[in-house]
Amino acid sequence: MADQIEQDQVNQTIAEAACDVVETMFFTSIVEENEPPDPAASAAGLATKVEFRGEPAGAFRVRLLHPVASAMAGVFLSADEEELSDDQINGVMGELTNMIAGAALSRLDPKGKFRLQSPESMTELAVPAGKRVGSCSLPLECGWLHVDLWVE
Amino acid sequence: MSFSVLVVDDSKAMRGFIRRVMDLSGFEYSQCLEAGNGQEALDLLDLEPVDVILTDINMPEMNGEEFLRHLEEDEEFRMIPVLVVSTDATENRIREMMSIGAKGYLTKPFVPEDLRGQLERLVGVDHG
Repeated sequence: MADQIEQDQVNQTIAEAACDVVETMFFTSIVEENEPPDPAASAAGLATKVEFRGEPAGAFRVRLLHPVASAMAGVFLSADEEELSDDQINGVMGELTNMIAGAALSRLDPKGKFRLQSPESMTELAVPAGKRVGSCSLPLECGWLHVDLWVE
Repeated sequence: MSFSVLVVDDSKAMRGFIRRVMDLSGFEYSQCLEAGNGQEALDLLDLEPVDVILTDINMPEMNGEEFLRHLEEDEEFRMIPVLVVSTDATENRIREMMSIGAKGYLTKPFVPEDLRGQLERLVGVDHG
């Protein structure tokens, strides 16, 4: 029971951090949706990982479909999403993941110390090392954003 | 009066975003120089005077802490106010960067008004 409450609190914190980032930096609203798509289902999507050092160490992974990534990158870069290169989209996804990771970790342990590593693109089905301890799925105007937290 | 700004961040996307947010916020700047890490920033500062520096912390080659320490060691550079812009909002990190010599700390995500407010405070724009 206590484990479930803690899990729910971690999930809620990750969701709040992600909401803050997408609404403030990507000018994107969270919409009402009843059921998220199965986050484990494979799809033509992008996944980005940001590892962090500290106590504990771990990683955040952000996953979203390519059209969602393009739309968000277009907003962030103030550019036509149709004309963005893969490098540009991956760069913005890295920054998105970086910001969600920093915001979430700062909320989870405001008195702690962590060091974020550089973002890395990964295949959507790959998983970071360790145990998954938190996740959230956010329905954005342009599609779903999935965030997972692993700790070693 | 407009100001010369140096933005130091290893993310080209973020450097561009900060520039656009400065535009959106109405902060008046005459030029916006960019560097991808602390060493590039120091090299730029040897060539161009700036009025204020915005820097990330986690960067390759020379991170934000090392960059700040180098600025503090230089008689001329230490006079330039530095605003740290970072995803790290922990008390330890904020305290650490301010103790090294940062004059302001802005956590990501941030709204344009907060960026402008911090920049104007650092360059001495008085709205009083």
